[in-house]
Amino acid sequence: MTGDILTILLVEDNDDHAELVMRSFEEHRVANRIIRVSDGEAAINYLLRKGDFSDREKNPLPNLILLDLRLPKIDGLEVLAEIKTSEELRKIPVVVLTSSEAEKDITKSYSNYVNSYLVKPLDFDKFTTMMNELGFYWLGWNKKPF
Amino acid sequence: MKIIEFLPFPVVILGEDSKIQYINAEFIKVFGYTLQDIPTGKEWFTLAYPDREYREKVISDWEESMVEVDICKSVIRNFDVMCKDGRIRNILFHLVKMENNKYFIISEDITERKKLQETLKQKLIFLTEPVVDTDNITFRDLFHIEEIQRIQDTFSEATGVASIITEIDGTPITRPSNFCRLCNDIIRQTPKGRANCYHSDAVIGKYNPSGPIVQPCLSGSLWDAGASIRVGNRHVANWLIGQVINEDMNMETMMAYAREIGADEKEYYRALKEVKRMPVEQFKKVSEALFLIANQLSLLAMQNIKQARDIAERKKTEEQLRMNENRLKTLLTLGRMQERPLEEILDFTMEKAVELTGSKLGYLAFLNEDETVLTMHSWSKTAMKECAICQFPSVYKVAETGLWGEAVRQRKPVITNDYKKDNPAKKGYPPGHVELKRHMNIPVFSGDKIVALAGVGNKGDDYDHLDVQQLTLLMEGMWGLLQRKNAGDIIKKQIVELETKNAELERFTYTVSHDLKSPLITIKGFLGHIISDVRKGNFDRMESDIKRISNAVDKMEYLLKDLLELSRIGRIINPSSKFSMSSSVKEVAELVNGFLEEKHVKFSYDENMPFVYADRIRIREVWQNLIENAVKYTGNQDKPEINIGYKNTDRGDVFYIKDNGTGIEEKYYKKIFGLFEKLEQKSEGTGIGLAIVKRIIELHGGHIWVESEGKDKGSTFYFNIPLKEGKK
Repeated sequence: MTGDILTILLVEDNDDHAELVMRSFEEHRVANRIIRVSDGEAAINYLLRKGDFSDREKNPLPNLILLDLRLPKIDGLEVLAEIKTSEELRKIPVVVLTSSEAEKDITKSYSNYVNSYLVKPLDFDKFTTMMNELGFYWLGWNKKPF
Repeated sequence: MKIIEFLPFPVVILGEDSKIQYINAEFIKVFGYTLQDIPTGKEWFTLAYPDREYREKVISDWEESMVEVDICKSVIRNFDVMCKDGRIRNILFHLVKMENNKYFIISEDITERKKLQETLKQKLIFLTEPVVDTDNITFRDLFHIEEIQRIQDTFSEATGVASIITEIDGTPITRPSNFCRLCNDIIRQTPKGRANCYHSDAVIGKYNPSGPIVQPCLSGSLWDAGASIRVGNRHVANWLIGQVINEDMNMETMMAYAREIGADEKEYYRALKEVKRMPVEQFKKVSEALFLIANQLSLLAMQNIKQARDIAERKKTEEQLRMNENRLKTLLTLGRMQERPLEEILDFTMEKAVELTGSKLGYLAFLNEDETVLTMHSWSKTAMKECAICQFPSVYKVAETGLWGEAVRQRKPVITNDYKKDNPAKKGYPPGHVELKRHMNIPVFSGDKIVALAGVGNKGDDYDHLDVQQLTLLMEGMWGLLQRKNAGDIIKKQIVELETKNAELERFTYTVSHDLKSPLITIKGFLGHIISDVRKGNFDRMESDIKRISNAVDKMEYLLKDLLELSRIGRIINPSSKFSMSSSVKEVAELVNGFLEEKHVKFSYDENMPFVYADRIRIREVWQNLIENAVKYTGNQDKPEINIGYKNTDRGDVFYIKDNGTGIEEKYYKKIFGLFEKLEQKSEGTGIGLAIVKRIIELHGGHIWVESEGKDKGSTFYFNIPLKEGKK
C-alpha cells in the first residue's frame, strides 16, 4: 500500500448504477482507478486480453473485480465461473455487487468461489457507507494478491 | 280264459261289429279304461286317440289290419295311446284272428324300449361322428394289429379254416393264418390269381347285417365266408375265412381255373388234393361264429372311439381351463400396466389375444364418436411380418368395409370359419392382404357405444363361442385399464402443467422484482447525491442527475406497461379469424413507415403469402416487434434491408423476416427470447419485445426461432402458425 494506484474492474450494465459506484470511489481517500465494462463478454475479453483489450499496458489486470450478476450477453455467474477456473485470474478477489437478494444467486455465487457478495441498498446513505467501507477494506486493509 | 286273465300283457277280445267282449286285469292296469269306459271300439278310439287327425289315421290303419289279418297271419301295429290318467304310452298291438270271427289283441307297452332305442340311436350317431377333422378312420387307427393277428390265428387254429383280415377293397391287413398251399403258394403267386383273390375277399367280406356271407371263392372256388367289421355304420375291414372243399366241388371246373391264371397244372392238382375237407354244416357253424366275433370286434371299435372321444373332450376341457387361467394371468398383468405407454399396452393385449384364441394374427381398430369411421391401430407381430403393406394408422369408413366391419354393423361378434367361400358381405380381407382362412372379430363396448374392433384370424381349427368369450373378456379388461390410465395421465399432465406454471411464475416474479428494483436504486441514489450537492452548494451535476432520475421513472413506467401487455396476452384471447398474412404485414408497414424511413431501411415483403387462422391484432403486434427489432439492430450496416416472406425449410413451411444487421451469435439464440433480455445494453426498449412475440406465437400452437450467420451478417427469424382452423 504505497502510492500505487489500485485498479478496479467494474462490470455493470446499468449506466446509472455504474455512475453511482464510480462517484463513491471518486471521493474515496484510497487512490484508485475504475475501469468499467458494460457486459459479461467485454469483462472476459478484458481479463483475457482479447479483442479490443489486447494491449496489456493499457489494460492491466485489476486488483479487485466488482461484478454485477444480471448482464447482457454473458451472465455474471458465468463470468465468475470463468474467472475462478482460470489459473491466472482466480487470484483476483471478486466481489459481487448486485440488486438481487435471491438465495439462489447467493448460493450459486459462493459455489463458484466468490470472495464476497454485496446487495446494493436502496437507501442513499447506506449505499455511500457501503462503498466507503468496501474501499477501505479491499483497497486499504486487504493485502493484494500481487 | 283263466290264462288270459293272468297274462302279464293287456289283452282285448273283440267280437263282431267291434264290440269289446273282454279285457283283462292287466289292460285296466296299463290303460286305466274299464269295460264301462269302452264298450265298443268307437269309445276306445275316441278316448285313446284324442287328437282327431291322429285318430282318423289310426282308424283307417286299423281297418286295413282287419282285412289283412288271418288265422295264421298276425298283424302288428304301433300307436301312441292316451291312457285314462293322461299319460301317453307307445303300444305295440298284436292282432290275431280267432276261429269264430273274434279278434284277439295283445298289447305291448314299448314306451321304455322306444326311449332306449332312441337313446341308443343318439349314442350311435354320437359315436360315429368323427373325432378328428378327417373322415378317414381306418382299421389300423382302431386296433392293435398284433392283437388282432393273435385273435385271427387262434380262431384259425381252433376251427381249422384259413383266415385273413383285409381292407374293404380286399388288400390284406393281417398275415394269413392257416392258408393252404394252393392259395398261398400258387394262386396268390400269379398276378391274375392274386387280383382275383383280393376281389373275392372284397365281395365276400362286404357289409351284411344279417349274417356271414358264405359262398365259393371267386378265385378258385374253394368255399369262403366273410363278415364285415364296422364302426357304427361305416365298414372298415373284412374278415375272411375258408379255403375248404366239400362234397359239392367239381374237379374239372377247378382245374380250368388253373389254366385261367396260368399256373402249373400238375402243381395245382397236387395242391388241390391237399386242401382241407369240411362238411357244409360244420363250415356254416364256423361262419356263424366268425360273424359273432366280427360283431364283437365292431363293438370294440366303437368303444375305442368313444374312449378316444372322451379323451379328446377332456383334453379340450383342460385346454379351456388352461386358456382361462392364462387369461386371468393376462388380465392381472394388464391391470398393473397402467403406467406403461399406450403403445405398449395395446401391443401386449394384441399378442395375448392371438395367444388366447390360438390364432396366428390379430388386429385392433378404433371407432370414432358416431361409429362411422374405423382407424386401424395395430397388428400382432406375426401379422406384421406376414403382410407387405402394413402402414398405420389407416382409416376406413365403416360403410365401405367388408366382412370385417360386420361386427360393428351387427353390434355383435362375427365368426367366419370358411373365409375363402364366397360370401356376400365379403369385400376383401382387412387391409394388409394377409391370406385369411378363419376369422373372428368382436366389437368392444363402452356403455352402449362401440369404441373399438378387435379381431383374430387363422386359428388352427374353427372359432367358437369360447374364443369369443376369451377375446371379449380380454378386451373389456384392456378398455377398463385404458380408462383408468387416461384419467391418471390427465391428472399427471395437469400436475406437470401446474408445476411449469409455478416455475414460470417464480421466474417471472424474480425477474420483475429485480428489474423494477434497479431504477429505484438509481432514483434513490441520485436523489441522495442531489441532496448532498444542494447542501454543499454544488449544482454542477444537478441537472444531469435529475435527468437520470426522470429516466429511471420512465423506465419503470415502460416496464410496468410491458408487463401488463405480457400478462394480457395470456389472459385475453381475441377470437381468431381468417386473414391474409400479406395484408397484415402491409398494415404494420404503414404503421412503422416513418420509423423505417428515418433509418433509411429498405423494406420488402411477399404479397402472396398464405391465409392464416389467428388472432389478427396479436399477429400485427408480432410483426411490429420483429420489424422494430430489425431496425434497432442494423448495427454497422449502411444499407439496411428488411425482407418478409414465406418459404419451405427443413422444419416445414414458415414465415420469416430477414435483416442484414448486426446478427446474433449462436450462443444467444435462445437467450434473446427471455424476459427483459437485451443483447445491447444501450439499445432502446425494455427487452420484453421478443418475449411477447414468443408468447403470442406459442399460444397459437406455433414455434419461433432465429438463425444468423454471425456478427454483422444479419439475422432471420422464422415462425409457423396454423393456416387452418382447428389445428391448435
